[in-house]
Amino acid sequence: MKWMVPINDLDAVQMRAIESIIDNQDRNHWVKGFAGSGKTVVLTHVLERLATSDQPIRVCFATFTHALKDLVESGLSDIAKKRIDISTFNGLKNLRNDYDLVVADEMQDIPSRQLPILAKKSDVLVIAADFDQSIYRSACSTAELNAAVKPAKEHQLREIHRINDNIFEIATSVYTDAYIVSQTTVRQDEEQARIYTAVSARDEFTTMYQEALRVSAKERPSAILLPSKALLDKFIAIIASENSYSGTPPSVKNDDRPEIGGPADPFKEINSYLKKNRSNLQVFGGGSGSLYDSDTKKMVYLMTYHSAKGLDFANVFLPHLTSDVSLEPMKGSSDDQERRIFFVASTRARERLYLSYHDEPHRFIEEIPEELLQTFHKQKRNY
Amino acid sequence: MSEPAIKQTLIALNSTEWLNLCARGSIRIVKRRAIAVPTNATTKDLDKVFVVAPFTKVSSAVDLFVLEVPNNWTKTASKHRSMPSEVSILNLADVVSHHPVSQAHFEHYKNKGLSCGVDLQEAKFEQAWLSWTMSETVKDALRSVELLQKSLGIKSLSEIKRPDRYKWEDLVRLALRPNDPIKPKPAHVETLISGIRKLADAVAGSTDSESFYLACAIEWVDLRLKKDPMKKKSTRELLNNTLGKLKDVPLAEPSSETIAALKHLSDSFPKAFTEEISALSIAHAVRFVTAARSKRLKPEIAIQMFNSIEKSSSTSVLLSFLLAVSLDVELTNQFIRASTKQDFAEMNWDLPN
Repeated sequence: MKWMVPINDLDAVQMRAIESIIDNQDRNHWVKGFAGSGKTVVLTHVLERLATSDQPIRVCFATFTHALKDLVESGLSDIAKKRIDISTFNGLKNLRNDYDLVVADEMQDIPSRQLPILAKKSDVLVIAADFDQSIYRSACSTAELNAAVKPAKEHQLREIHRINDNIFEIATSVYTDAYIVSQTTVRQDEEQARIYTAVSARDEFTTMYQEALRVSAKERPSAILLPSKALLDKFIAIIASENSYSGTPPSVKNDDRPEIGGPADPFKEINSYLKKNRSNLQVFGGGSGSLYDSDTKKMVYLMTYHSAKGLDFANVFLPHLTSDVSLEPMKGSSDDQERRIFFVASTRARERLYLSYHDEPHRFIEEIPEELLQTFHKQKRNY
Repeated sequence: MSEPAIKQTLIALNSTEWLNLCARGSIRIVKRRAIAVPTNATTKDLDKVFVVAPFTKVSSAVDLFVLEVPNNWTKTASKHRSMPSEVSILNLADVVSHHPVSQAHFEHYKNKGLSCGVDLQEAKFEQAWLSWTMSETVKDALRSVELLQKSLGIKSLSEIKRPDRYKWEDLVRLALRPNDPIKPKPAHVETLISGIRKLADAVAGSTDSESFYLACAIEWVDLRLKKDPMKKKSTRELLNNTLGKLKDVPLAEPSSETIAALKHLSDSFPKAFTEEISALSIAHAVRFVTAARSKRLKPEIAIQMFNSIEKSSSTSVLLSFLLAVSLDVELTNQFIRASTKQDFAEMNWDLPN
């Protein structure tokens, strides 16, 4: 999956941030920015520069999920990969404690208990964190993170590269507390998010899957995001029955627990079932599934909202936004947390965003101004 | 004899100038930027105020203010000692009223103004500002089209007399604002420009395969003639057969099979195509415009496509027009530089405002 932005294509603020971090390796840095402003891109360029300089230093990179770890690794040169230790936050405890510098992404979601472990690794931290994208209840507080990296030189990114103005408006109309710095710029194009009102869950899942498959292309995969693993099971069961897949689909093992580190391939069985049935669908998350499969064929990735953290896809589908669904499967979630989850999910879309529901719409759909959404109509032909 | 119109004197300032004026109480300003216009000024009258405002790029995020000063300000204002005939001092106390050019600017600067004792007034020039920026944007776009056509060795717009009633200016407006129809009776070119997104959506899954050329042409026939080109059995079989074969062929220059299928489509639905909108050009137009709008255009691919088109044809004129308008003037310049030097890694989509 080609995601890494070449150094020449970075915006001026991103370039300044990289130069400043490279020139000041003895102090903490905090890269800030809206979803899609390129924080991970900046960190990856920093890692590359640190690892390939004439006097390479001992560097470690840590992030939240296996998928993000793999993504950053794929953006590095072979030399850099060899020289940098790359880990999830969970795996940090197994690494040495004498790094010259630790680079850490998605720090808004690092659990409080892991902050002391991280602190032991090095005296210097270069982090990226945006608390608007914090979706785990175990995550550390703003105060805790501030204390962990204080004092840090801040680098505020201002250009939103991933999403267009329509998705920006949708995301911020649901999560109105999103922090938008002055002079933020966002891409403007004609693309508008679609909304589909289905007659049933079967109609909804089938229609959205067909559309996800139709609009996906090599290197431009679709992702279908659902709030819980129970819904992943339901989705797969419907698609398997509609497409007459042979055999009964194995369960994705619904334990209603978002994947943090976790087993290396929790969806092995279901993915092997889908592969046997020559499906373009793949369950992604917790180390399962490969984004690189979309380099060679049309792919539709199915995952929980939490598994989509930090990633982006050409087409993003958020089905099952019905009134009785909570976007946070864990009990006792707050309205604010649900809004942040929707914010994170909707800002994963590089090109197209689809929302759908059956029965009564989720309150978030009702809060989105009508003019931001267009009604989804099925295309007559499929190429 | 008619009564002389009552005049007002207006000065357009950018946000840096305005903030300095508020903070320091005065700024230096070239006298001729104060323009006298009737109190019931038309959009055309106000053009004179905007045209002398200090910015270089109309579409940039530069915030603008229109200040009303006394009609005798140019005579009474203090002169700058080094260039008294040219430069005057605009004092905050001279200003009768401050108007941001848009309501959004009003919201943004209201508190900043209040902190300096300035009460911002309504954005009463917003319509005139929008009209002026649109007309300047159209002029910019046409300039970039001419530049691109010159660099590609394609006939320029001025050499092409359109057989329909459209002016190129109208088509630029349509390309920039596809939801504002420009004429009540749409012709081919209007349908194409306003329907590009619809076409791109319909063929979304074929963008990386050679079936893209045929898919675009099929959807175009449906869009333009409101007829399903796959309705007739013989045509359906031929097109489906070709689409099936091309589905896994990576998108490159059209093969003879694609050309033959496109010809079949043109012959079967001659009313769907014109001299400038050929069956092949639909795919090029969709690809160029969507790639430019989503910042994914690769110059080498665009050049390759232009090379596959007869350069003296009306098709190449329309395609270069669509490309330049979608890219905007700075990116068209980059595109020209990249294609001239054959250094295709140069496109930088992140432009300074």
